Amino acid sequence: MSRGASAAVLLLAGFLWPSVCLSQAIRLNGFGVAATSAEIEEVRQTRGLGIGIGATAEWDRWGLEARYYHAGLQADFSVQPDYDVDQVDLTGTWFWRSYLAPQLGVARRFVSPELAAQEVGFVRLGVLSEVRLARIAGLWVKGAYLPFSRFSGGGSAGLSLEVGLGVEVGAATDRIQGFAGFEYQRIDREAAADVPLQFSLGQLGIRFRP
Amino acid sequence: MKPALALVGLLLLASSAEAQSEEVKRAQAAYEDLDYAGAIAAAKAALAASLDRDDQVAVYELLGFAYGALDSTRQAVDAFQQLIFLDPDREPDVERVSPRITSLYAFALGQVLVVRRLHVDSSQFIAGQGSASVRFEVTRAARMRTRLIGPGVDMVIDTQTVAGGVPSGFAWRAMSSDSSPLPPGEYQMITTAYEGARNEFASPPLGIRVTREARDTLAHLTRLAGYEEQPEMVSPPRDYRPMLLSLLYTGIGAGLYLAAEDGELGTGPRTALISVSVAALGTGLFISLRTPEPRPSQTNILYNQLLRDLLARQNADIARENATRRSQIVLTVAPAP
Repeated sequence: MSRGASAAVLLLAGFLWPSVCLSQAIRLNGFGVAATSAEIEEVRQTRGLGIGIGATAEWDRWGLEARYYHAGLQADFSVQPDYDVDQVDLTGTWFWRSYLAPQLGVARRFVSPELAAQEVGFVRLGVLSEVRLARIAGLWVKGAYLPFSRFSGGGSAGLSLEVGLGVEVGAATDRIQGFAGFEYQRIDREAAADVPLQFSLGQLGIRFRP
Repeated sequence: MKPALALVGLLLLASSAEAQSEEVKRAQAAYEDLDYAGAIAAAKAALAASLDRDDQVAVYELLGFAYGALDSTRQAVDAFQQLIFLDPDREPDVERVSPRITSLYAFALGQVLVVRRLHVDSSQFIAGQGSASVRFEVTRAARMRTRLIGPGVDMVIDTQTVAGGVPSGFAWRAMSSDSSPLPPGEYQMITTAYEGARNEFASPPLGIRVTREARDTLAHLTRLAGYEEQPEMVSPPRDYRPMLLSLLYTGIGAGLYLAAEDGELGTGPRTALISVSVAALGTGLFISLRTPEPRPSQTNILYNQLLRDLLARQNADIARENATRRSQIVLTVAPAP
């Protein structure tokens, strides 16, 4: 694990610990990921699998989610080297309504080896909508705008968006729930020229209530 | 007029002329032949002999009819008075006897003091709570005293002053002098009418049978008639809302992705998107099409609880009622056969 990734794990633990202590509903997540990433042009696409962990804590109408995942990405084209990606997310949610919850979060994505791809840090400002289909299943959809982005290679971001869709199986009171999700991120990075990047993440995992 | 009168009297006499003595038969034969004088002579001869009560009744009735046919009012009234003393409840049939005879009989009735139509209505009641009706009629205003005689009992059960010629009576509770229910058995009731110090008349004894039994208890209820318990777990009707919601959310998610997708960087992520979309739609479809899981019906649970509470209250009432009933005795009073 890179130095950045280690720092991210520590950061995750540090952020999570106070909320775990104070919260009323805590869940730990373990999941597998299928990630794709592309920068500048289609031929520089990479894809690969990985694993992740996370934790969610809910108290009253507030929620806090911390997540870390690691994936090894292989390139399809010799210009783009293979690399590992580590990302840490911290997202706060205010459950205003059951179907509408504003979110505010920060995230940092590390790559290894350095310079194999852009490392990105950003702030997420979005909306989450959850619905229970039945006692044993629910869906969520979310969208976010990324107003602040920083890149290891410099430059700035124009349009930056993130969307997601997911399904969860298991009653809210069950100790274990299964979930599957998809997230897509588009950042129109501009440096000397347009150097857009997109990143997607498929997740399949379980949530455990200790 | 007189033959017709006699014919009616004959019809009446014929109906009661069974097992009569020879003298009585001779008197009736003379009467049938419209020989009223002969009938009167034969009847008087019969009275001189030893006659049982029924024959005496028949003879005095024949005498009354015969004297009435001969317009001998005083003698007819005398005969009818004797008849009334012997059988106070006997009356000429107004449908078959001439009005003259009937009026003579009524006149005779007004001249004597007798107790008539003593009767006890058959009834069943709880000792100490109900009563049987005793009815009688006295021909003249009199002071009445009713006495009951039976196994270990000889007591006056009613005294009252009544008007003559009108139905009277009293409610008889069938209790002993110590206020306990009468023991079962055959009893005789005699009602005596007193007019002044010297004139009195006692009715023929009226036989009464008294039986007693424990009061039936009520069975406890296992259900309330007309009310059935409702199932507490009820399967709701099929719900297509999950499928519609999954369509909506998947559509929003996919639409947002398609709107945000950067075509210049390829379509690689679509596999994951399709997989999650299929999972979401499949989940919604599965939940909508599966047999709905039975859920507790709060309405039915409350209904059943109310029903059980009501049943319990009714059984508690029945238990209290049965405790009372076990200490009660049901008396049945009826004329003796």
